[in-house]
Amino acid sequence: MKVLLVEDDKDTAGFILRGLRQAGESAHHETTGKAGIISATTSQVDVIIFDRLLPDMDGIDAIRVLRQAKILAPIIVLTALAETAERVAGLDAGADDYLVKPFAFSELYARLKALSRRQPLQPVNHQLTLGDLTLDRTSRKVSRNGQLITLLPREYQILEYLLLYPNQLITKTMLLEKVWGFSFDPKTSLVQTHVSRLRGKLDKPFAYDLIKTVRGSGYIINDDR
Amino acid sequence: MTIPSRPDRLWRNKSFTTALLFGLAATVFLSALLVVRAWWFIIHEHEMLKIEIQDFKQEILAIFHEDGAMGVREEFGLERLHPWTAEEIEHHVAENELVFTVLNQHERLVAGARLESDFNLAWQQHAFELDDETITLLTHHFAVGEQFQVALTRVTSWIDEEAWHEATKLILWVWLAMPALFMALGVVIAKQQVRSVKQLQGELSALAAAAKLSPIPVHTTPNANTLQPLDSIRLSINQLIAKMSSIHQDIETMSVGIAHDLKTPLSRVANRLQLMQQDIDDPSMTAAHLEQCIEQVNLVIATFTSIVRLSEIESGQRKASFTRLNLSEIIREMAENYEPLFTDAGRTLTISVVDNVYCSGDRDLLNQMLNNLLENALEYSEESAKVWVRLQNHTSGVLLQVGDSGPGIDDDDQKRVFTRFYRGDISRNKPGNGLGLSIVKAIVNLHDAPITILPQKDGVTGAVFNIVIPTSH
Repeated sequence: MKVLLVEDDKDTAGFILRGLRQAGESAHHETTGKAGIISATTSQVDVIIFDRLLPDMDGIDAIRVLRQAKILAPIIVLTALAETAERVAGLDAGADDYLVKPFAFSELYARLKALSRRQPLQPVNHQLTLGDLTLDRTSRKVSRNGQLITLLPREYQILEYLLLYPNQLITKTMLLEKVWGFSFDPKTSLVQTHVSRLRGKLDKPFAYDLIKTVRGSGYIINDDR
Repeated sequence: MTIPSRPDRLWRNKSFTTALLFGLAATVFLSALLVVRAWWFIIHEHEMLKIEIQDFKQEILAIFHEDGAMGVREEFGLERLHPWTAEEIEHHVAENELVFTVLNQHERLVAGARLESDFNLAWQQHAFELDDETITLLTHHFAVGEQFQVALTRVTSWIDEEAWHEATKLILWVWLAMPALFMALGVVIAKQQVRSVKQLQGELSALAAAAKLSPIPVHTTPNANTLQPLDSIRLSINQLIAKMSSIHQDIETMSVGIAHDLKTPLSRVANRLQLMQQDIDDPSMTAAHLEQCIEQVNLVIATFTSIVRLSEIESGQRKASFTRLNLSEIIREMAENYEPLFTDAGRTLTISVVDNVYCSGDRDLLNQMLNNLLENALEYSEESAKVWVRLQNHTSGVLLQVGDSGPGIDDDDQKRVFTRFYRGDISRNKPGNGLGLSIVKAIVNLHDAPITILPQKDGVTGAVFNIVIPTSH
């Protein structure tokens, strides 16, 4: 995965670049909006990380320029502003995701992976499969090892989202945003409880677990025994 | 901050100029009155003169009827009646004496002055030239018997002269005295005003310099009828001070709350960092300490996120993006989300929601409101408690009720649960930051939905929140 990072703050940039290199990704770093736009238009990148507050321009304007120039690489916006209006402005300008500082690297990386995986757009996939698990998106039926599993709507939504990004970390915050549509963080174990219910139906009766917990970060669904 | 003091220019003072203008108006009015008085004096004196002449005429006629012409002559001592010379006439006129004219039946002057008056008129006002001066005369013509025609004449010029002389003299005094009087009055009022304003300004400056805001003294009793203008300002300032004090107290509570809430996790981080220094050679211990550090720092960040969120809601910006929402669906979905959590915690959650209730609002915020209320119920109810979420029709809109059978909130705390960083649990042992219900309050305020907590009586034991949400059709 080739990542372009446009971030003027040295500490934040260093933190992200180190994380990306440790994860074995190649990263290119720019400190101004203009340099970022030039890099994005002249070289092939898979994902772009854009800081909102840059010395020479607003990241939102830079994104608008890139989208007008038909640069379609997914963009994730970083900002210190948590307000919903800011989020909406970012997404309206053509960004694909939004992350508020401070954040854990695992959170950023999970989102980068999810974004890069989406490229190119998958043909509408009616059947999601992983090992002996199948999920039919039309009939909303889930079965494992030929056995039909009855899920509650919320459990189904969680599983569907996990299956769209197999083998990669899905954080608690991502689930809250994509499955529940929350922009706030409940103090209770809302996500954990629902995931554990799902696992009770999906994994417990079978030979091995598909959903794995990554302590302190989130969940991964894979076929590893 | 200092208030620039303006030089006290008297003519800029409103009361002074008002007094002056009023004085001028009074002067003009008084002058007009004096003119009217002079006019009235003229009319009155003319009348008096006429009466005098008529009295004299009656006397003459009475004597004539009794004793004839000779009688009249004797009565008035007119032994030798003769036409007067010009000097005689002038002398009589100059001395303001009665001038008479007697004509015989041939209209020939028998005695007195010839004044060229018209005997066809009973009363005549006419002019007389005396030493280049025009004098006005009033003449009464009448017949005495069939032989004589008599004219009695008095000078009237003096009346006008005296009236105008008197009037102008008085008007002059009025013009000299009145403006000065009112100017003095204006000065007194203005000085008094400046003094009381300066006093108030002094009190306010002292207040601004003081360490603590306290009400300023009000001198008169707070009775609307007797209230001095500046005292009503004092009362308003005191209201303002009371409001500022309460805001100040809120800020104080909040900063103490923030300090308290941040101190605990940050001191845990500090402790863990010290332990890390000691256990630096043990990778597994170091990793455990680190994990604790991250967890505690995240708590600090979460508190700040809540503060920012709260002020974003309170700013009211979101109101612009309100949409029509199916409230029944939102509430049912959120309650169903929480049901497994309540079950896992050994509590029961009962959901009873009327269908298809619509309202105008922000989905994300309404979700958070329910989330926070349910979190609150989960956290503060005891094991095996019954918790319910109910949406029912109400006289104005719909009533959303979230209640539990737990220990409840005592009446003292009820007033304060919506205050930032306030917690019923003083030890702050439970998770959360005391902002949950403040956020609920901000959200219901934004939706014009009043929230109340049922008082602890009439069989209510747990914490029951009632929110009346306006509906839209």
